[in-house]
Amino acid sequence: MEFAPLTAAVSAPSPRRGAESWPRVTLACIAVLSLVQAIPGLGEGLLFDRDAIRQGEFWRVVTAHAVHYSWAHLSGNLAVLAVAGLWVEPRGSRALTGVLVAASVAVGGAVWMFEPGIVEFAGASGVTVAVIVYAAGCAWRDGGRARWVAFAVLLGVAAKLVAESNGWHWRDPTADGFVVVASSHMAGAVIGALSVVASSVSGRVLRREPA
Amino acid sequence: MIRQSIRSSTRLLAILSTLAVSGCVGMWDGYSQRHQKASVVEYLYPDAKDPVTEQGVPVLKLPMRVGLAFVPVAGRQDAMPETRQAEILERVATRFRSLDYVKAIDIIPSAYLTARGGFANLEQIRSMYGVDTIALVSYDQKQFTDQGVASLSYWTIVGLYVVPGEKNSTHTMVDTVVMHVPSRKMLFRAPGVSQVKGLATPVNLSEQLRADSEAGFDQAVDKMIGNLQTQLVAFEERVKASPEEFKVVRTDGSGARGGGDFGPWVGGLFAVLIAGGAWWSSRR
Repeated sequence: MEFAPLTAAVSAPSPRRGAESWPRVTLACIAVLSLVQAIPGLGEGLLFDRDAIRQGEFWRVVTAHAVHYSWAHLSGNLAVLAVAGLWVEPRGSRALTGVLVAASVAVGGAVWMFEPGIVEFAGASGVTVAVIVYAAGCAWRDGGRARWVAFAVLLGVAAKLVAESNGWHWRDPTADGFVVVASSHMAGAVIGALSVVASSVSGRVLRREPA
Repeated sequence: MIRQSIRSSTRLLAILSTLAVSGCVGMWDGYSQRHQKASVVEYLYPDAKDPVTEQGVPVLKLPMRVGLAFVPVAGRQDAMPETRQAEILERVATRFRSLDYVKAIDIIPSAYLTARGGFANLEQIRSMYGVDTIALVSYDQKQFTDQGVASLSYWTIVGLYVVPGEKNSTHTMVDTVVMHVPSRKMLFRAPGVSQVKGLATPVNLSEQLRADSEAGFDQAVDKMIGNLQTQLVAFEERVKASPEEFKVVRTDGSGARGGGDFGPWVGGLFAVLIAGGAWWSSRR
């Protein structure tokens, strides 16, 4: 309920078909991530485990994004995912679901292919980057003040990606038992950008259809 | 003349009989044993009176450099030849090189290790090569030679050359012990044992024993290498299952555990930026 002003504000400039007043996908994400963290042992069967995936447990490529190593790990990712989801979901829950699914597959696949040294992986930040980039891209299309916000957000994402690619970490990578996988964020950004392009193309098609 | 001839013949027969009997005794007394060993316990704990220092929790910095060396022997006369040691070390090194968490293998020449050097010597090696983990290869080989019934043919002299009446038995154990030097803790070990039996004539006995010795080491090393693979897998499982027993630290950003993480500060910054921006852009 407290998110209503935000969702209403963002949905106002450019409402789309299928837009929902109730951000059910975002709230479902918050609930799932919190539950997986809260129920002991649940994450063990869901996280990206290279050996287990080799043995046929392919769901881990996707479900790894719902698992976090600690509440502190979850809090940063969840805060951004929740706000970005509430920003973009008024444009359509199905579009957001599509972005989440595509990003989950792509980020997990990127870790599998490009990070052979990573045996275990968990965390929703790659998917979150996809949602941020998608949301900012949509806001850019709206123009006006939203374009400035989109510019600032995209600049922040770009700065983060460049910094991480050059080995910058805001924490000791060995302190809490895992290293941040920069390529997962890169893959998320690519999916977010592609989703913006796809939604633009589909929007044009939809606009032409009635004519 | 005839009597003198008979006496000479009798003396010759007596001398031959004496020689034969003494030879026989010499032959039946022919049990022998050879022993060569390089003990890792004697090397690491040379003075049993010293109290064993307390072991710490090993901090494994991955990917790791691993030193590889043969345990030195006090008396060099019984030591395995350097070329043989190098061959075995290379085979062990090949197995370690296939591991993705091993960055490099440093084969340490035996001249750098001191017999009965203990952990003080290992600390020197650690400083010199920059390795926290050292794999020590030790061995213990015993060769026994007994004479079988066929050795009766040695009486014929020709039998000494053609009848293999010497029964050799060669028992070999080769062992790789992987030590974490700072914590003085053994991470794991992989032994390999073999038994070679053979026959030899007295004339080629030493040659055959050398051949048996090499065959024994070959077979034991084969088994040790196979066992090493098993132990490495078991060790990886132990490290995963017992984080309190082993602390793993990744040093190159490509560690086993990876995560997607905004972190509380950057995540908070993005959340504020997006929420604030959305609110600001919605104002009329």
